[in-house]
Order: sequence, then C-alpha cells, then structure tokens
Amino acid sequence: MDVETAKRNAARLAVRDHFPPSAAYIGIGSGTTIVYVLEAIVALDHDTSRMRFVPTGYHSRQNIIKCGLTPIAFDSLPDDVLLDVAFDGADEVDEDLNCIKGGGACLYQEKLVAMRARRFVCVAGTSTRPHIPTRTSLAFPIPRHAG
Amino acid sequence: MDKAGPLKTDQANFIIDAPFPTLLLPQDSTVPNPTSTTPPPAPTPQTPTPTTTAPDATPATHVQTSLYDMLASPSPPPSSAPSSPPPPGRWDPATLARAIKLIEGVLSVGLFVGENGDEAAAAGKKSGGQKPVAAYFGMADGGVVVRSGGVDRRVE
Repeated sequence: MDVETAKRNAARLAVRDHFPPSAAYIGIGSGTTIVYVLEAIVALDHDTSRMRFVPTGYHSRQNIIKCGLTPIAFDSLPDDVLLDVAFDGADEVDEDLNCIKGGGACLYQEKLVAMRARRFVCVAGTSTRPHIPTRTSLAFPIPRHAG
Repeated sequence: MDKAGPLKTDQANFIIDAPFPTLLLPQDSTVPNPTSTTPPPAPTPQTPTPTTTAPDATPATHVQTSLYDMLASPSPPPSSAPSSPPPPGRWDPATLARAIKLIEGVLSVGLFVGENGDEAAAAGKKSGGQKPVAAYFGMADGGVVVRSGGVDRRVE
C-alpha cells in the first residue's frame, strides 16, 4: 500500500458517504488528495453535465477542468444558493475537527467555499496531521492585504 | 515553498505562518488552572462554539495590537467579567481565531473552527459552518480512518 492508494481510498469513501446524487453545486479544494475526490465523483457515473464545481483556487479549477467537469467561479453563484457539499484537505485536524488550513496559499477562498457549503468534508492524505496527542504548537497562515 | 520575494496567495495577499502555543480543546475547559484557586470564567455571549467554556478574550482590546505583539504575549487579557484570568498562553481555537481576525490588516485566518454545516443549519443560520462534519484520513497502510461525532472509526 502506498500514500497515493491511501488518498484514493479516503477520497472514495468520502464521496460515497457525502456526495448527494442530486448535487448541483460542489466545492472542490486544492491538493493532491482532492484530485482523487474528483476521480471518485466521475467514477460514480452520474450525469454531471448540470453540476457546477466551485474551486478554491487556481489549481483546483484546473483539476476540475482536467476531469471533464464544469467549474463555476465562487462569485458567480446565485445569491441564495448553498453548495451541497465541499471537499477539501487540511494541514492539521484536531480531535474536535478544528482544522488548520492554508498551507497551499488558497486560504481566503477555501474558507469562503467551506462556509458556503451545507457540509464541508475534509479528505486528507498522510501528510495531514490527524492527531495532536501532545497538542504541540500550531502554525497557520494569516493573509494580510499588501501595502 | 521556494519562491523569490514574499509568499502571496492567489488574490495577492501576503500569507504568513504564526506559531502558537498549545490550543485548548473542549475537554480542557473543565481543567482548572492549577495556579488559580478560582473557577474558570463563564462563557461570554460572543463565544461561538457551544461546546467549549474556555475563557474568552475581550476582542476590542486587541484591535490595535499587532500580530507579533499578540504572539509575544499570548495570554489573553483578563475579561471584563469579575472572574479569574485565563491560564497564561492558552487559547481555545475559536477565541484565538476571532482575536487574530480583528487585528488590523488581517483578511483571513487559517483556523477553521466554530460550527460545522449541520450545527449552523440547526442554529437557523443561512451559511454553513467552517468546520468539517467529518474528516477522512488515508493511512500509511492504505486504510482509512473517519473522524466524526467525536470518535475515530477505522473503515477498510
């Protein structure tokens, strides 16, 4: 078993458990594990022609397109619409499901997408720290306006 | 990440790491400060996370504080309520996120805390929460651990 298999399995199960068949809008994060989420969605073989996938940044948008799915910009969402689900990774996740995110520098958009979704589902590979048994220091990104 | 110049996001914001001492988890709120003889302070109305009773900071006093000043003195100031000060250097995630967000110039904080989508909906809110409802961890042996509802389950 290798790390890529682990990511693929995690993604497959997350999609199995949380992707609603009638999904209209789906949030998609960046990172290698979320590519497997997209693959798992395609593998469900639903009609995805009317589904719109909201990326959290440049790379997730490219991944959506590469998988043959249709992206939609966050700003283009109709006002009253919530995403049915959002899938994204995390740098660290604690026992209470607090997440540290932002290592990929898509922080602002990631949070907007997570909050616009009915449910955010975290899908993590082995590079994510799942436990903080000694609760050591946490580092996290804080974007600031330039200038 | 190797990059010349300051690290910037897709939206051309600066992004910086901010190391911090151990954060409090909900179960920590029942552990009294060993140096204090008074009970932990009661939750304030601003505390967004229903499961924690960790001490709150007074956000207004941090508005003009720079991020690094705050990190250099990580203890939140005593709350205005007549109760004991929080344990030095210990924050709960929601309080920390709120305090940092209020620093002038901070656009977004990489802590995803507070409510998840189901909790936000149950509270009648229009937008979802920041926290995931579940986390799926791919393990080194190819198996998957699912964390939700406060428990970890091995699946596969």
